[in-house]
Amino acid sequence: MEDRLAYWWFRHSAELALHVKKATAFQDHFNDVMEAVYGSDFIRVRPAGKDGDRKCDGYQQSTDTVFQVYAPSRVDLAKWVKKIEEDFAGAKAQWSSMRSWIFVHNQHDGLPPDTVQTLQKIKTANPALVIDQWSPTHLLELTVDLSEERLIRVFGNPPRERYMRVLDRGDVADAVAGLALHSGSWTSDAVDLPVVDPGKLDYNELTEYPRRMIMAGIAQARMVEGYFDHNPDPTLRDRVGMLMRAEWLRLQHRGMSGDEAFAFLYDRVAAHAQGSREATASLALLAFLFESCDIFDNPPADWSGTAA
Amino acid sequence: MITPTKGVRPERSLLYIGGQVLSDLDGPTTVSGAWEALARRRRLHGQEATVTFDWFVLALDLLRALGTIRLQDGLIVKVGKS
Repeated sequence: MEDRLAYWWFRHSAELALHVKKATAFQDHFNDVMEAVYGSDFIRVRPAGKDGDRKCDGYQQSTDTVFQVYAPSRVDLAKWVKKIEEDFAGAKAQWSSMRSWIFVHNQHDGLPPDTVQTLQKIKTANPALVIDQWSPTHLLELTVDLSEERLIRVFGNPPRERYMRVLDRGDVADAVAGLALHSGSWTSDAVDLPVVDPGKLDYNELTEYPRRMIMAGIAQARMVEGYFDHNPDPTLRDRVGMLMRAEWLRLQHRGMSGDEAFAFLYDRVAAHAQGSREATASLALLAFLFESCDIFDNPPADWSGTAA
Repeated sequence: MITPTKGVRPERSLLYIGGQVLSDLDGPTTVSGAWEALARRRRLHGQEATVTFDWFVLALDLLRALGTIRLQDGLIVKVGKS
């Protein structure tokens, strides 16, 4: 992929989706990825009538594979053995064409031994069938070689370097307008302008792709500042900052990681972005707010740690 | 907005603009005269940040509230100077 910023954004989106999405959202994401990778060979299966989905969340025609997706919001590993046994038995009984059964899950740290043993038992008892499990890493690898067009279908329009170079105040105006600010939410609050600490990226434990995206966006920080300086409403800059600060504090309260918070805040700004140029302006605005410390925390003066 | 904040730089705060208006108020003047004098002064100092007319009027309100200007025969005058 020629555009590095788009590449970082797609990788970040692909990694984060597998951490953030749970239950039905994870299943939908699995279906989106499989459709993007395998096209019409993969059939999305939706529940219907009293039989639901007949123990099949997706079907690959060329290999007659039944996929069973399990990504609970709250993990109770004790239930997994029963779940696997029931789902496999149900799929075997209801899909006579089945030659392969794959259990797709959202456990990034691996499966517990009982679960692995259950899969092995099923494999031994069914030598004619291919039995396998897919971890989130497998789904991530599936997206690596996707064309840009298909990545956009799954993850939406990315910010791009070529737009970052030519952004103007009009683009920032669109990004700010997308925040749908309410003037009544503003109260004057004099705050000293902080100096951005280079350790801020480390302190907030942002990983490679968000770091690269923020650094790319900061290249346009002065232009964004110029937009606010020339806006007829001198209070707009404070109102945008306070709105996003409140969003950041809410995410922090929920115990989100730096990467997750970055993605949520980006989505908040880019909610109405129609294409890559608007997405790029959203990133530039977010990077400006990062640099000016409206979002994310500055490291304490005595902090000397580094991110992993 | 009266004093500078994180997002309202000093030269855009009402107190600063009010100070600029007062500096040019050597004699009784119209609102339009004060507005034009402010625009001239800001151009002279290379202050490009936008100040709209309604923001300027808020600065006049502030000066009036502080008791530094008053309206006399339709003209703005410094208090203590007739």
